[in-house]
Amino acid sequence: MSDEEFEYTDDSDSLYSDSVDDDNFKIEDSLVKHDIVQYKQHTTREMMETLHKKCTKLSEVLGKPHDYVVTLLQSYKWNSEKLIEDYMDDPQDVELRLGLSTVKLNGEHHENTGLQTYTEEAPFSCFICCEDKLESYKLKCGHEFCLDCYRTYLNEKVKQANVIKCPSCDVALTPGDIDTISGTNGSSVLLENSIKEYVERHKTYKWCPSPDCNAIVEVLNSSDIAHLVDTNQIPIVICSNGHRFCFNCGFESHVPAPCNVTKQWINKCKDDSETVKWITTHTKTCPKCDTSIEKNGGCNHMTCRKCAYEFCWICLGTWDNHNNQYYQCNRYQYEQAEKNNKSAKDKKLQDEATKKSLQRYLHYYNLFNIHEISTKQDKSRCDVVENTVREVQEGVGISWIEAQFLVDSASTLLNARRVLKWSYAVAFYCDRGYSLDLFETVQAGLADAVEALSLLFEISDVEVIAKKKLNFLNASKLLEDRQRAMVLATEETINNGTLRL
Amino acid sequence: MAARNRILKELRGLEKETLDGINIELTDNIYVLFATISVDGNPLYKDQVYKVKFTITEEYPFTPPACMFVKDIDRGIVSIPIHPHIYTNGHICLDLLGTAWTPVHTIRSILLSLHSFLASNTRSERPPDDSSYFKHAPKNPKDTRFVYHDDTV
Repeated sequence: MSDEEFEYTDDSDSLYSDSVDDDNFKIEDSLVKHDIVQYKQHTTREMMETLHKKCTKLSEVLGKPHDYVVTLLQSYKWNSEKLIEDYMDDPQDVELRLGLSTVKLNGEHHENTGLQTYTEEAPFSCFICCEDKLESYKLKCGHEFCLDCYRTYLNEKVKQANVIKCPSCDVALTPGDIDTISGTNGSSVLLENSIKEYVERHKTYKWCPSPDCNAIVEVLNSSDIAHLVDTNQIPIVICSNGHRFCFNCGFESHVPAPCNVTKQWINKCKDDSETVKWITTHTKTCPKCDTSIEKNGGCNHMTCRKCAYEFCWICLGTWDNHNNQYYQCNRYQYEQAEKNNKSAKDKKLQDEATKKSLQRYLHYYNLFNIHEISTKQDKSRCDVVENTVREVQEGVGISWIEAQFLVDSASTLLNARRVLKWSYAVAFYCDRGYSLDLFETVQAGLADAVEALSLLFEISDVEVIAKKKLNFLNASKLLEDRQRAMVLATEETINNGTLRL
Repeated sequence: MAARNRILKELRGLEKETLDGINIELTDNIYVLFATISVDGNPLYKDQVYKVKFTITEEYPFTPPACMFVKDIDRGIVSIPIHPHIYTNGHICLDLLGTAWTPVHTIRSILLSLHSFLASNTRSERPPDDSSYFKHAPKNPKDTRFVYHDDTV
């Protein structure tokens, strides 16, 4: 695609022009262009309109009312091909099966259907609640129940099914019936259920995996996804709420780790997580005075409140070693591990190998986990960064646009930390060698830059923040560069064939 | 209130028009009632009386009553009917008591189903997962999500 100039617009009206042709949307209006995946962002409201569009089209084909078609499609789980096939074969059978038959039922013909009203003198006696009521609803099967009972019934059923049937027989309620009974737009809940089903049934659609996000992404070149995954490329998409995720895995963006590495890593973490959780609880003890310390945010440069000892949260070594280029704790120390293992010499060789591999795994899992926890803290910081921006604005008297660097830096940090986190998963599956040495050097650089920016966010004094704007910008720039380098280094490492799954 | 009215009306109906082989036993609480079932037509259950317990909630009739077979040692009811859909602990796997329930069903319709359930059975066996179910079954049969895999019996 060379349509570089296209950008996503929120103008949903233009999306549903008359020329929209069933599933194959015209892609001029709102195409989101990404390196390798072409996709479109949808909201649930837009999906609802898509479904309605589908119904309108089918209702023209079948020559039936819109309501009727909605119920048909809901029964067929929105598989319109199957529906048309069955319907063309034997329309009466389909109608009968779905409770939509317009033929007389049980030989009786019930003219007066829909909402019924009664008087105080001659009220309606409802079978369900056994009370006298003034309002009821009657379907064409002749079964009649009071509105209150019908409402309760609908509320109960709406959670379970796509199509609601008469409490007494198999006659289906159309969206019109449901809306009249509920007095509101009750049928839209059913339609929301349908959207869920529609998205799950169609492989080109996927829900954004972020919690509380209802956005949907539709991939336009879905046939390419499998090829991308095979060639270790990651089909990252961004939902309309700005969440990045992998379309293949339906999981948060795991750049630079390829999908197969991610899958293996997640499975491994699941298997071993209980052991690891047991070993690494949320607290660590100060290496000097053994005070329990919980890290509730910020960088990995820790200072013990009690003994003022400065250490690194990751390797628990003194922080002095971590300044400048000497960031070493991302490397797995093979020599050290050998030494540790010598004490267990008399043990079986098998045991040793297992232990070693567990230690190696623990090393990477720890790193991964530390950044996972930090990511959560970063996320909550992103939520409050708007407040900080306002404080900086008010406290120092600079404009909103000038204070935006904070928001940008926060999201840069979040993305970079995610990249760093997943690079540890890649490292775990890599063979020891020259290529990994290079990889780890780049990784150390990235970790360093993450720490640097993270440290800046520890500042709470608004004036200092404003003064350090240049530092923020520089740190972000450096971080972005190193993040890119990390992605490239990963690609190279994988291309060199050092990945062992 | 709806539940109470409805139960009272159903009980009056059951009193007026009794069912063959079924006796209703009331308790002080109208939300709990028992019924005894005897199925003489089926040699599997000949000369046996079984007891069913109904526990009804305020949401009735929009949700089904919890219904299970129980023992009553004092009165000599010591067994749970052997049936491919009835577990040793008395829980019943019947879609009417779960997904197929609608508010137009009644205690009477449940009893009729159970009666024909027993009358038509020819297999003297427990459900295939009886032993594993028995160990982990919840107290209330409604908390079990049955899979209604077999509608031949």
